Amino acid sequence: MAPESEFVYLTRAELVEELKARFASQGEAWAGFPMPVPGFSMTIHQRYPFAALFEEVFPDMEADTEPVGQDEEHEEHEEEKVVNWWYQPPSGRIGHVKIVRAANGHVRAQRSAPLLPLGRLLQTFEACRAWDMRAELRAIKKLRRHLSRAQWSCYVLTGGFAEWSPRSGVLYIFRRLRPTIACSFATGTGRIIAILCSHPIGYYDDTWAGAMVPTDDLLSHLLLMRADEHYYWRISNQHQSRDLGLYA
Amino acid sequence: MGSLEILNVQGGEVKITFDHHDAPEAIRARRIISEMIRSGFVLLVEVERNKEKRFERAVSFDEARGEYIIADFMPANGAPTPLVSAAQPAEEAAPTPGKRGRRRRVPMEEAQATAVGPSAGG
Repeated sequence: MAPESEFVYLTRAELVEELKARFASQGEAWAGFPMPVPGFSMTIHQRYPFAALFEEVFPDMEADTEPVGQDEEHEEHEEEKVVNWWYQPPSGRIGHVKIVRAANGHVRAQRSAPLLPLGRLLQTFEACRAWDMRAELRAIKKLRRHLSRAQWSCYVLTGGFAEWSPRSGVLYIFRRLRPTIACSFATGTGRIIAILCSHPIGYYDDTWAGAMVPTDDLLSHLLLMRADEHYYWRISNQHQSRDLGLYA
Repeated sequence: MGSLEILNVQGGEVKITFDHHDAPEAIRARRIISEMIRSGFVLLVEVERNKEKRFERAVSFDEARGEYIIADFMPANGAPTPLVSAAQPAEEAAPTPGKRGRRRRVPMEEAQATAVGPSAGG
């Protein structure tokens, strides 16, 4: 968010009301508005009804990556669109890779160095300014309805819990403010199949923080896994087990 | 009475209840659900299988009839189980014979559902 933004001095409640007033003509915000945090860029799902308006009102919320390597024929263009992106395990300085297409059709790769776990954790502490503590407490009460007594106790005490899928036999480890770990015990010993990362609506780049409070994020993982496991895997970013050190 | 709870960024209790006695409200609710699905929201409908309640994803929504359409998944043991909505009597939901991948219809006025916004990845 730009330092000179008129929104900088509003409280969270005031900002929500201001956004409602600004976006009222665009329809109802059933899932609410992601809270911009100064100094942080957000990745918002393009089908979120207000994604385009957010880019207009908060233009500095584009991902802030420092390219460490560029195509030789790179040119600056006014309008560029990310057409694909992925995370490449650290080898040298390669981290996130984005494929960007300019308005004239020119395609280039934009690479950014990975943020190590300590940095990501500290960034998350900063990003939590976006959340309302009461919202997290409500989410915790909501989660309680969906858990067994043992799972609930585990969550309160450790911030996570596990659940077997009756369909696939995969063990899912759900964790607050961390991606979900999917494990298989088909061979008798456990192995991590994938680390599933997913945030409804959006998330703050280079943090563990989603647009929703942590327990609502976790609840979305749990309900999606239970409701449609294939779909859950399809909409999640699947990181490899060797990246667990980065996602611990 | 059916309801749709929406996971909200601000964490508020955003809940839409459906009352088929209120026709304008029912029409509005159907429009909202259709728009949410078009916007990429995932609707998870609570259904009952073997006397156990669970959520299943609605693959689409019939706005004209106000019904969620869910996939009829096979459970882990391979035996198909009759599906009922949480408030629907079992005898009204006898399995429809047909090929694999059949769909089930659940009236929105009789189901509890949760809506999750489109995933931005992570």
